[in-house]
Amino acid sequence: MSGFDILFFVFAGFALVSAMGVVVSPNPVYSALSLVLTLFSVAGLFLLLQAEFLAVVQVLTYAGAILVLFVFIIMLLNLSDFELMEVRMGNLGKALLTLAAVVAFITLAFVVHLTRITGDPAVEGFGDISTLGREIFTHYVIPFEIAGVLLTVSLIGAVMLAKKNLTKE
Amino acid sequence: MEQLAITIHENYLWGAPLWAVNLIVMFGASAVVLMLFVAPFAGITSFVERRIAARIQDRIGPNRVGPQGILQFLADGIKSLMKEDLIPTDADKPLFILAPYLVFLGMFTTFVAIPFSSKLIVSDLNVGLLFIFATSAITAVGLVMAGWGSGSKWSMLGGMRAAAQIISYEIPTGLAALCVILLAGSLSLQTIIAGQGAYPWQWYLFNNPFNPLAFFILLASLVAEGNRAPFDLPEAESELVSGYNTEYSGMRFLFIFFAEWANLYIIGALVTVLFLGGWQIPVGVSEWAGGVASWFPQVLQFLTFFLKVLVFVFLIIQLRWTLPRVRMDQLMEICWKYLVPVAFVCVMGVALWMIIWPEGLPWMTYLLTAVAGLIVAYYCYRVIWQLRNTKATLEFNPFV
Amino acid sequence: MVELPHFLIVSVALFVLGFVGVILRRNLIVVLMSIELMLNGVNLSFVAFSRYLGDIQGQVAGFFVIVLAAAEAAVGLAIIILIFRRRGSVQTTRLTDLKDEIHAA
Repeated sequence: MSGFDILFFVFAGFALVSAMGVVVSPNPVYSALSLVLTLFSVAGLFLLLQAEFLAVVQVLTYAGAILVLFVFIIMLLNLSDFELMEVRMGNLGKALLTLAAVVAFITLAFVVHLTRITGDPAVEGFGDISTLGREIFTHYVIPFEIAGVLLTVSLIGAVMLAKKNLTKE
Repeated sequence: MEQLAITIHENYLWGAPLWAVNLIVMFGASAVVLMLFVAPFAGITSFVERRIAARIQDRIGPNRVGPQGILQFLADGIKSLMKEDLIPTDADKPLFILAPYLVFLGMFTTFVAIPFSSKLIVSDLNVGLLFIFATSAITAVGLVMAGWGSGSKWSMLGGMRAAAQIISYEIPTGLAALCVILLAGSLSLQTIIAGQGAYPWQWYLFNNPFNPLAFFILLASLVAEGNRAPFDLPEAESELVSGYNTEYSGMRFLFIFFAEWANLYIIGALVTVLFLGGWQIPVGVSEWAGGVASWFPQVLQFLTFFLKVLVFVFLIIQLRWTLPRVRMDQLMEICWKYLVPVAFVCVMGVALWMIIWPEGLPWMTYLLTAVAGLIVAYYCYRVIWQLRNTKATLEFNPFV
Repeated sequence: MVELPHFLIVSVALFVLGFVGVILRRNLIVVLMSIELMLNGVNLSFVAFSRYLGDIQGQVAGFFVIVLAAAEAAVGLAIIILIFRRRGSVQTTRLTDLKDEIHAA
C-alpha cells in the first residue's frame, strides 16, 4: 500500500459516505453540508489524478459559490419545520428503488471491470495549468466562448426570474 | 519541505515509508507555523489594533497587563479558554460546534501557499493564487454554518449577509488579480514575485496606469471579503449585535476571532505579493548578505515582506476606525455597479497595454511611481498637520 | 494497487447515489443537490480517464462540466425561489397542477 492508495481510499470513503448523507439526511441544510464534504473529497481525488487546476476550481466554484448559494436559499426561504420534513414514499417504492439502484450500480461496476486500460502513462507536469490552458484556448475556443455566453445568459435569467415586482417598475 | 522529508527518510528513520515521513514533516511544519507565527501575530495585532483605536478615539486603551498592556491578548485568550462552554438551546448542535473550526481551517490553509521569502514557503503550488482564493472560500461556508447553526435571528442575518458579501466580492478580487496574472503569466506566487524587482518602479503596481486601479479594487474587495470595516455588515454591532458570532463564547469565539486577525495578514500578504514585489530585495544587498551567511538573505527577504505586510495591516486598522460603515444595499452597489465593471476595464486595459507596449513604458512607470510617492507624502503631511492642530505630539513610540 | 477501475467505481457510485436522490427526495432543493452529485460523478470519470489515457482533453471536459454546474445551480435556484413564492412550498408532491382531476387524490 503506497501513500497514493491510502489517500485514495480515504478520499473515496469520505466522498461516498457524505454522498449518502446528501441523499438520506432529512434536513436540507445537512444535505448541503454533506455535499460540501463530498465535493472536497472529489477535489482530493482530482489532486490524486494530477488535475490540480480542476481540484482548485472545484473547491472555488462549488464550495465557495454554489454551496453557499444553496444554504443561502434555504435560509432565505426560511422553510418551516413542516416544509423541512419530507413527504416520504411508501416502503415498497423505496425498496424497489434501492434494488434498482443496486442493480444499476452492479451493472455499471461490471462494465467498469471490463475496461482494459491499465498502467500509468501520465508524465511529470501532466495537468499543468499551462497545458490545460493551451488546450482550452486552441482546440476548445468555441466551446469556451459558448460557455461564457451560457454563464451570462444564466446570470441574467436567474436575476430576472428571482426579481420581485418585475411589472411594477 | 519535500527535501527535508527525503533527508529525514534516508538518514534517520530507516523503517518508515517516505509518505509517512512526509506527512509527519508536513504536520510538524504546520504546527510550528501556527504556534510560533500565526497565533502570536494574531494576538499581538489584536492588541495593537485596540491601542490604535484608543488613540484615534482619544482614549488610552488596554495598558494594565504586562508592559504597556502588551500581554493583554494572552490574558484575553486565557479568559476565553476558562469560560463556560455555552451552546444555546435553539442551536443546531453539530453545526454550531463545527462552524468555527471550518472558518479557522479556511483561513489557515491559505498560509500553505504564501511565500515569506524565496525559500520560506510551504509549497509553491503552480495554482497558488487560485488555491488561496479557494481556501478562503471555505470560510464563507463556515460563516454561513455559524449563522444558521446558532439558531438566533441576529446570527442568521449575519450569516446571510456574510454569504452574499463574500460571494459578490470574490468577482472583483479575481478580476483585479487577473491583471497581475496577465503580466506574470503564471499563478504561482513565487513566479509572480520573480517577475518584479526590489524598487518601486519595478513593481507590477506601477507597470501601467490600469494596475494602480486594480490594486485599489483588490484591496477594497479583500477587505470586504474579510468582513472588515467599512464593509463589516455581517457583524455590524449597531444593528446585528455581533452577527454570526453573537451566540459564540469561550474557545469557539476565540477561533472565529483568530481567523479574522490572521485574515488581516493574508490580505496584506496577497496585496504585497501581487503588486508590491513581495520579498524582493536589491541584488546588491542580496549578494552582500549572501557573503555574510547563506541564511542572511532569507532573513532580509522575510523582513522586507513582513514590513510591507504590516503597512497594510495598519492601513486596514486605520480604515476601520476612521470610516463609517456602508449600508447593505450600498455594499452591493459598490461591488456590482462600480468595482466589477472597473475591474473588467482594467483587465482589458492591461491586455491591450501588453499588446501595444510589450516592453512597458518606462516614463509612464516613473510618472506613476512619482505620483504614488506624492500621495504617500501628502498622507504623511496630513497626519502631521492633524496632530499639530489638535495639539498632540507626533510620537512614533506606540507605548507612550 | 489503485488503478483506473477504482476511480471509475467511485464515480459510478456517486452517480447512482445522485440518481437515487433525484428519484427519492421530494424537496426540490435536495433534488438539485443530487443532480450536482451526479455531475460530480461524471466529472470524476472524465478526469480519471484523462489521467490514465494520458490525454488532457478529459480535464477540459471536466472544466466545462463545472461551468455548466454553476449555470445550472443559479437558474435552478432562481426557479425554486419563484416556485416557493407562488406556492409557498418546495415539495414536488405539491406541484401537481397538470395532474388529471380524477386521479388527483
